[in-house]
Amino acid sequence: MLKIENLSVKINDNTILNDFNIDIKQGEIHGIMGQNGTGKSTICNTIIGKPAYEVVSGSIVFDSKDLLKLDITERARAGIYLINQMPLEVPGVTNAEMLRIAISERTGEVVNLFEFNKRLEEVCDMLKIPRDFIHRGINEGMSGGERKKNELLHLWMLEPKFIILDELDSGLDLDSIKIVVESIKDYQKKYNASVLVITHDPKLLKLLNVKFVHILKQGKVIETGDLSLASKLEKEGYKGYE
Amino acid sequence: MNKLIINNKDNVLDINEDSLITIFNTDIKSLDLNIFDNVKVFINDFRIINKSSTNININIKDNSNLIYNHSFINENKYNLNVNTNYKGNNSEITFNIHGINEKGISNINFDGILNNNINNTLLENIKLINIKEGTGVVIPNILVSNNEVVANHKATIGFISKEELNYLMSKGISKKEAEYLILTGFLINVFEDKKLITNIKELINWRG
Repeated sequence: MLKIENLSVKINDNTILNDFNIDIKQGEIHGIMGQNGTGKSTICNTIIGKPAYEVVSGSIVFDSKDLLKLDITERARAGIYLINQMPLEVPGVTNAEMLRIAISERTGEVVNLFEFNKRLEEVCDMLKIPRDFIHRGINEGMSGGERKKNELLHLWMLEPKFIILDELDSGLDLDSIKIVVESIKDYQKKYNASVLVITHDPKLLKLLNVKFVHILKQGKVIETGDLSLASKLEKEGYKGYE
Repeated sequence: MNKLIINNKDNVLDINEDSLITIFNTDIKSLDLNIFDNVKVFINDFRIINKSSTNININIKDNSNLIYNHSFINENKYNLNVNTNYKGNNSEITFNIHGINEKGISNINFDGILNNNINNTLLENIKLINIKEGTGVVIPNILVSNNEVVANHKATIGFISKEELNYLMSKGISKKEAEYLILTGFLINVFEDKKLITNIKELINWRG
């Protein structure tokens, strides 16, 4: 599904990722942990194709497509979806407007408004968010937890194949974490989606039943294991990697 | 609440009751507002401007409140001159202006005089986005001559937010549609009137 080989990435002449490798197959859930400043968010932003992230060398192949040749829109339409640690507010643009345009541009067809609105209401009910979210500005005036749930509304409507979760748990209380995690697990199961989880919290990896855990240091994977690696980090921290 | 729609080029309004005033794509040369005691006035003003100069003079008396929401697309040249005069105490004037400079220049001159009257408030929140060859200038002149007033001026002039653009594109939206969504959202975001918002969207829809 997603294979990254020997990837080196610069931002403003600073090398952040250095010979980074990962291979995520369809339906697999991978977690990346690492101290602050090791390049975790750079991985997310490079995969989705933000222009500020300059790929110096290496490759990213997704579903046999060379992602580095695609812009952000094309990558999203190929099935890549990021939930950021603090999803952005877009004032005056409603969720419904954005989703209707995203779906209609991707499919090349006019959206059936009755079906579309019905689906939006079903997803709101499933996520236990008020239906008025549908016509609210994207993340406008929303708390951190509401923003994450709002991003889940987008996720279920856009139906991507590959989800990147960048510090999903930041800004979420315990009840909200439970709702968000359950929703992502349901989604992953229903669509056999692949998931890449970036986090500081080993507990989140356990909640999401992550199968592969990677430790990142100085922009490079230095160790890969299963959930026991996350448990080891929970007990010992990063001392063993200094 | 008294509801008014302004369609004239030159206007003098004496307002002595709560009022909602709508200006929808009318080329206004002058608007003199005389706001009497104890009234609340909301003005929603949206315009697509080619070549226009508008002078807004506001005289406000005691315990009154004016919220002036204005958004515009400037296609050529726009001069907006605003004068605020407090004729009494405990009154508040708020200006929220969102403008898109498509071509040419917009000059926004703001003269606020907070004289010896007390507990008056002047809030200006001006945001301009320059696209294509458009530019904008904001000149605030706020004269404060006592300590018992609040004066707040905020002006930003910039381009379409790259972060917002990247965010919408990351949902699978083309760059052109993402820009259109951001600019439309920016223009309507100063208003709450749903009918006006619908009218604005219909009016600017052709711009794509």
